[in-house]
Amino acid sequence: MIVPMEMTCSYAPEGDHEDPADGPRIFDVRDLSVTFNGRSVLRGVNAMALDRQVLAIVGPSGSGKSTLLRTMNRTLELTLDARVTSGDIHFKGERLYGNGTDPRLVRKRICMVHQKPVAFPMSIGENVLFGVRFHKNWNGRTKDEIIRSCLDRVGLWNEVKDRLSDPASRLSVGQLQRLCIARALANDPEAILMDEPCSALDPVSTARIEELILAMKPQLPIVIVTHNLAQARRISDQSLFLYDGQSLEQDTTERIFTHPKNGRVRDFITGKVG
Amino acid sequence: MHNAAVLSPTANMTGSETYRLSVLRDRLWRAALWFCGFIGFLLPVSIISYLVFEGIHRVSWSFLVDYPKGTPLGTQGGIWPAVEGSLALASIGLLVAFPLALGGGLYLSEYGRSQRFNETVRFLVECLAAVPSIIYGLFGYAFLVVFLKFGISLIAGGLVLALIMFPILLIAIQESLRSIDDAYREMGLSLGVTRFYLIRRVLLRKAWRGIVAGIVLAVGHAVGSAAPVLFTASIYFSKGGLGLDRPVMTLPTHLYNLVSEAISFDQAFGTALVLIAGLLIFNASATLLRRLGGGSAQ
Ligand SMILES: Nc1ncnc2c1ncn2[C@@H]1O[C@H](COP(=O)(O)OP(=O)(O)OP(=O)(O)O)[C@@H](O)[C@H]1O
Ligand SMILES: [Mg+2]
Repeated sequence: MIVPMEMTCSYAPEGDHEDPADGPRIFDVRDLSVTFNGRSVLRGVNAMALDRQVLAIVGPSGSGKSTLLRTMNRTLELTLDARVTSGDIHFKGERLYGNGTDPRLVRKRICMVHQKPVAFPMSIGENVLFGVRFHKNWNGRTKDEIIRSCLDRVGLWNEVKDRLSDPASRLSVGQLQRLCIARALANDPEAILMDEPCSALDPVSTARIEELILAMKPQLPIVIVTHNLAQARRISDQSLFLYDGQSLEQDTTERIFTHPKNGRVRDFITGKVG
Repeated sequence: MHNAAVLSPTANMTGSETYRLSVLRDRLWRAALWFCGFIGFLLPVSIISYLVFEGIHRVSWSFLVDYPKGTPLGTQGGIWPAVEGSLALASIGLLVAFPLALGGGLYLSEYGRSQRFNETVRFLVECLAAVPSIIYGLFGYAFLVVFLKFGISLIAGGLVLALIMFPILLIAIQESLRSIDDAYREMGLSLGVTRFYLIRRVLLRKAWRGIVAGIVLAVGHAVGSAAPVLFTASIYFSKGGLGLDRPVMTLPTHLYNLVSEAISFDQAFGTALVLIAGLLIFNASATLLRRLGGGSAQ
């Protein structure tokens, strides 16, 4: 079973917000533009993510979903030639692109889970501790406690508890993706970004990741890029539709998928394009 | 059966004429390639067997630990001063070259953001790797021995060997770092760590095998050649004992002297065998090290 007890208990019912848009904004993307090598890839994107909610970013291939996600924890600038040319992102009221913001601290607080899970060349346990050993966020916990609690949260503890010192590369892809999430959780992040985290996984592993997302939601806002519209519907509260570098529409997932206002969004959702 | 073949001549189970021809061509290719591969096996094995055949009766414990004796000098006795000298030269070369090459390789592969600078440096380093070793010897003599007044010495020869090893090591290190999937960098850095931490914890472990292979190549290349140390470090005879400012005997120059002065072919084959065996042992232990490092890392 993936959902640990304390998580299901602290789950806040939906009814707490009258209109979700009025809840506290965790991410507030304002008029964000990005260029690659001078070529415009995001053009004045507006988006927001609310506390205790999952935001899904959907849209056709090449529309800039990954690019937007990577601006949200300042990993975009790891790509040479990528520039944020205008706009800013506010995270809990702080400017991510303000002067003096250290991108590394942003990345510590806002973690990213990638499409392709990667095992670092060390043991399973050490993989979990990768960020902790750098950021020193032990907070009085021993390394065994951190490994156990993080692996427990992603439902991997029982599967690997007897081989924590084995190389992480021996895990299956689905297990590895959960290990990557555990590794991110060990950073004590305040939000998690996921870029098509299930696209390399089989249906069973996908279902486990989806359960995990729903279990993490009460503590952590999650932004997920997905190609899978059914998945977006299953797990997200808000959906943002990106098209050719522009944010065409954002609304509750319910409304986006039943009554989209924008014609392009409607075409995409009904499968006419994309 | 025959009827079926007539009905659909290309779809039967024996295959058409052209199909069988291409199968035959494939077999011929295979044989030709096998032969080329076999040469790669035959050449080293026959050279080494020949050296063993000619030299093994010379090699003994005392051959390894004695200094050269007899008249002319070298017809009797052993080669210890040359063994010691070559080991010292290789160690100095590696100690000087490895940190510099590691730094350079890491910079070019992980930090350098200017494509033009990276390409220029890489081009120059490749040129450096292509310079014949006798030129390094000449440079070492003119610059280190004469101009800097090091004299013919262990340190001058060691530095020349470092110069020879540097480009080989740098290219190997840069290449093995470059072959690591960028997903490791993206994933590591997205957890908010520094590049240095990522390099230390992840990239160097992934690149380990390639780096060790580079060390083997560089050391083998440097230790085996006589030209770079001929006018910078080596002396005709020494009773052993090392000093940075003193010249040494080396295996390749000793071998060169034994043959060119027609002192003793027997002793020369013995020396060659010791040199080759030393490099093989070094190679094998590096391979073992690579396995061990890789085993815990993969
Ligand atoms: N490193 C890069 N250099 C140059 N252009 C890039 C780079 N990465 C992405 N792009 C361009 O930016 C645009 C948006 O790419 P992005 O990866 O954000 O799209 P996406 O919506 O995530 O697509 P997909 O669904 O296929 O993952 C594309 O046109 C792409 O070609
Ligand atoms: Mg993408």
